[in-house]
Amino acid sequence: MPNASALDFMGTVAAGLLTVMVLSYLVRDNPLFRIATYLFIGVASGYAGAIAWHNVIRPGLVDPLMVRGFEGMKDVTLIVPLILVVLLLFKLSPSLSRYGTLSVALLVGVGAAVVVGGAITGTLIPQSLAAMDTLNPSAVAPQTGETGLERVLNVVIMLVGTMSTLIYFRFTARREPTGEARRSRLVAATAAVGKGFIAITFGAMYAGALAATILVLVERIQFLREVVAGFLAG
Amino acid sequence: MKLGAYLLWAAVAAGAGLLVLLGYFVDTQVILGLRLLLMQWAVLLAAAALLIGLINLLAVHYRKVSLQEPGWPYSALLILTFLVTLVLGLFFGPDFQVVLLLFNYVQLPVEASLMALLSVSLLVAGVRLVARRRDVFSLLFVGTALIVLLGTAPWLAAGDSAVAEGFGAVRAWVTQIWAAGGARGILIGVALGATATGLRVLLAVDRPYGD
Repeated sequence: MPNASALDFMGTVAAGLLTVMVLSYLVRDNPLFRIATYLFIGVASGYAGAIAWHNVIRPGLVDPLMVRGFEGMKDVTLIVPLILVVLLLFKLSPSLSRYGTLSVALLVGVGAAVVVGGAITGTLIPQSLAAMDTLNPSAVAPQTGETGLERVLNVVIMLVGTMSTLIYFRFTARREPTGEARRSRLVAATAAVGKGFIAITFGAMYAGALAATILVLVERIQFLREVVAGFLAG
Repeated sequence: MKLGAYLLWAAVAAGAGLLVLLGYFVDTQVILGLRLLLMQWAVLLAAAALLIGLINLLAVHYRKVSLQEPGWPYSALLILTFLVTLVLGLFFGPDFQVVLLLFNYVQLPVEASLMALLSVSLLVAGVRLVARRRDVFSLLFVGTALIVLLGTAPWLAAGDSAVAEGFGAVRAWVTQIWAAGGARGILIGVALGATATGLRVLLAVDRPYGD
């Protein structure tokens, strides 16, 4: 069994090789890139499976059943999820998959409720309150710190941005006698302003993503330089 | 029979969903307890669904290998690494030394390198946008991106000049006022869309679990 430092050294060399294999895609799609990505998918999916078993299924279902034995079989809070999980396994077979629909229905129902609850309490209410809060004339802008006329101007820009962006995503339109769907002029003009705000927002997000990924690229190149330097130094 | 089954699935989805949704707004012990129980069951089902997905991944690539379809050696490599990581992870736990080595020296570097590749893809996409579509919205997009980058990144020379500081101030104004207004609209729009889609599922108008 190699010692820890030897394992670390081999691991670092492997990581360096994998980095070069992935970055070789910059030249063109090639077998080295594919080997690295398939290796990655294999390891990542195996690791995800192990995490799902050890962090969710074993402590939530298997361990309580093993500890309590037959007593556990009488507990509805344990036997129902066990049955649901077994029913879900039927989804693996096309001919038996209909027996797994009950489990999927429960999963979808709870998932939809979490999405609705999260959207209302996590986004709709806080964002609407924040938008209303900007209307307070005596408040100082929390991020930029400006007051007075400058703040009023900024608040107007923000509110116009929010409203016009929302109107851009409103796709209802009146049908003309010719059968053509057409928005009113006011809605179309506001939607165009909204499209401009969306372009600005995506531009800022694009710049943030580009800056973050360039940082990662620099880190990878620095890592490769260290691996090569360490290798040459023996 | 089919109608009865469809009603049962719809009732289960709607009943479970409405109980969980009620738990967000009603502070009653019974509702909160039921919500917690249903959430625990759903988490267990989601983990089981993940394992089923992994079995499906294995089956798809096993078929590719057994039929020797184009690219089958890659699938064989995927199966091998998947089984090695899964078996070691299941028997010795995700904190086992070899599993951690695989995570740190295979998964993390490939993930970081793929993200590094993304920088080039983003740059190429930005240049293509300017080259192929020259309208007001593309100009706004690229102009904002340039302002944000010039206002954020360190300058090679004259980093403390008035021009550099000016770019920093314009960047703050653009991101915290103009982009924030648009982002708030997008966020509220996404939340409204998610609420409408979720309610359609809870009211059984949409039935993604099948009839």
